[in-house]
Amino acid sequence: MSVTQVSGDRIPPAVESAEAVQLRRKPQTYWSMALSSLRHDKLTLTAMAYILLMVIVTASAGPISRTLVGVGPNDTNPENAFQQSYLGPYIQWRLGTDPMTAPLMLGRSGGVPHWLGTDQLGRDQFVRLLYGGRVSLSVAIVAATISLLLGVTVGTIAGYFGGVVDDVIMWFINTVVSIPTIYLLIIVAAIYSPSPLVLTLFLGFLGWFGTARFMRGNVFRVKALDYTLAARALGARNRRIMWSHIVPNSIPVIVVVTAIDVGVLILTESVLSFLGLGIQPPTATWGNMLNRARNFLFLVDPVTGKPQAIHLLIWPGLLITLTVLAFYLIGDGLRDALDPTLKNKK
Amino acid sequence: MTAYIIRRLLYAIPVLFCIILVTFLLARSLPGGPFDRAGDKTLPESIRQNLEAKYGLDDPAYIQFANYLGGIVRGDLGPSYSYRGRSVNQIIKESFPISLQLGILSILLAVIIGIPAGIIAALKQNTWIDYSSSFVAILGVSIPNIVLGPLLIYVVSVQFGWLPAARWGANYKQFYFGWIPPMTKDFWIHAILPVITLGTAFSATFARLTRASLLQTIREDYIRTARAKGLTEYGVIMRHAMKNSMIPVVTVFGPLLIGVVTGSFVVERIFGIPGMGEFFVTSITNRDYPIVLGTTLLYSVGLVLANIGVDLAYAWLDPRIRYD
Repeated sequence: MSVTQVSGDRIPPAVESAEAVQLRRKPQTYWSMALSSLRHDKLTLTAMAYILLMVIVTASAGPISRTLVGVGPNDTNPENAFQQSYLGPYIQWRLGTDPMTAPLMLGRSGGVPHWLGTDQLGRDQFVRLLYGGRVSLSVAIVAATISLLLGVTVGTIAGYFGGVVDDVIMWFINTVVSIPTIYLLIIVAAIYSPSPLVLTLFLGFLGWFGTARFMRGNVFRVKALDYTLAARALGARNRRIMWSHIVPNSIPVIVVVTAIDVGVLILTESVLSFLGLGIQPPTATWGNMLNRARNFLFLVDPVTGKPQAIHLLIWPGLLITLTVLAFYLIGDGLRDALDPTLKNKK
Repeated sequence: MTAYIIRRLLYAIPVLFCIILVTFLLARSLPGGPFDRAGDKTLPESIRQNLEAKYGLDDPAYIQFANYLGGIVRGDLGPSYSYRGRSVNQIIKESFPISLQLGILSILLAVIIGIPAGIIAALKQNTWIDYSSSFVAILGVSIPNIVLGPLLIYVVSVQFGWLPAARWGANYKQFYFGWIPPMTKDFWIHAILPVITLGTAFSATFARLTRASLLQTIREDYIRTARAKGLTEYGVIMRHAMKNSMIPVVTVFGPLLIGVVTGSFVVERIFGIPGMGEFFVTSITNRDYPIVLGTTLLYSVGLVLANIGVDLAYAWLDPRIRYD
């Protein structure tokens, strides 16, 4: 309104108003742009929400299993092995469509509601999934952090100094990488029959090679940019240039690599457990639960002829798949959000 | 080019030496020895010592290592401790072709399904074809073979009884040239489920990469030129876009082979296939050092050669890349 009034009196200076428009827009930093593009990415947000939910739920495995179920992860009840999921019958009971099954199941389990059924020893699957998820997730996240720190440090050093340092480091990495990590992991796992902590350390210390390579490549790119030269001209030392200029510039790359890494580590942990070389039972992890379930695939109920143990395969399998999927989606979403070169290509 | 290949092969020798050394040391640091038990019984001390003397296990470690290296140079990977009377060469001759067939068939499956799926998704970008194929692809990348394998066995073998749930349909005596399987029905019905289990993730990876890379390529100027001069869409894609967009796809072949090796451990375990991965895992438990070392060495040689092959493939796909 006011603009038209003014323009009625005299012609407004075009340059000035263009400037005003410019100023009214909030200044956009790199991170605020990334955040705003992430905010519109529903898929990535869903994946993040899922992971957050998983972390919260598994972290509070104790209270949740006490209130919802009432047994611990290793409480056995051999009389009640291979009970089916209680969830479906419970809903039908509440709805009144099937008043028989759920109370019968409760009777057999001694009043304990096994929401997702029980395994071959009558342990509650829901509770074991919670505790197992805690192990699987924390092993993966901590190991990813270790390999992130190692990879970034070594990669930065190799890329920054170049020359002999780079040659030696890259030669070492290329040597180790040409042995499939799984070989080393299997041998090492057999030597130490690992506790969760030991396994985490191994996964971390054997997982940083990829990050280091990525980082090195990126450092080579950043090193050639003008602001590095400027920093050097101002008299900054190597360490300062590396940590204040080169590493921050590589954060987008690192974040994406790490998100995908966590997914891969969850897979690796479950593969090791699956081969019987990871974390040993009775400590539950999604991998060793799945491994156990495989042995009971052919089991059928002698009376009804229905499969007895398929729920032991479905639930851990579903959780592993969804979690890995979520980390991949987060990786993809972050790449789109953090890579300014992709911004105009959509 | 020949000089480049020779140089790469020479570089590989110290790498392989280190691999042997590391694996040797790691394998020897496994607690317990190969002759601690016979079945369920503990072996008497004297017998154990005799056995260890027979296989040279009472020598100092460096002499054992030197002997082992000498054997490798002669192409002899030593005797197996747990499969008495069989050499590691013999075991590898029997089991490696099976792992190789499994691996090659899975990669073929990935190429045949993944790359066309990626092309179609890219050409129909932002249609329901694209969305559904991208969704299937990301699902395929995330569903681990330890989940997919048992699930397939359950649905296909247990519920419907269509395909056998385990074993491999041919053995080394039937292989042509020592590794090509006979094209019998028995072979194929046993191969289908393991190959799908191992190949799904690779196929999904190929589809995603091909789509992304082709989308980038078809925006290039020379594609517009090709269209402008009146080529058919098929000609534009096949003659001009495909070759260039294959470079990122070839890049993943190195990591992919590692994935095949890792996956073959799992898939051979799930389906009870007597391949090399299965021998490796059982040999670790049996402390059968020569098998552990021999299989690791063989895989490493394979990976080194494959990586050289991948680098040569770059040069073929992109003539701007030159090695000299």
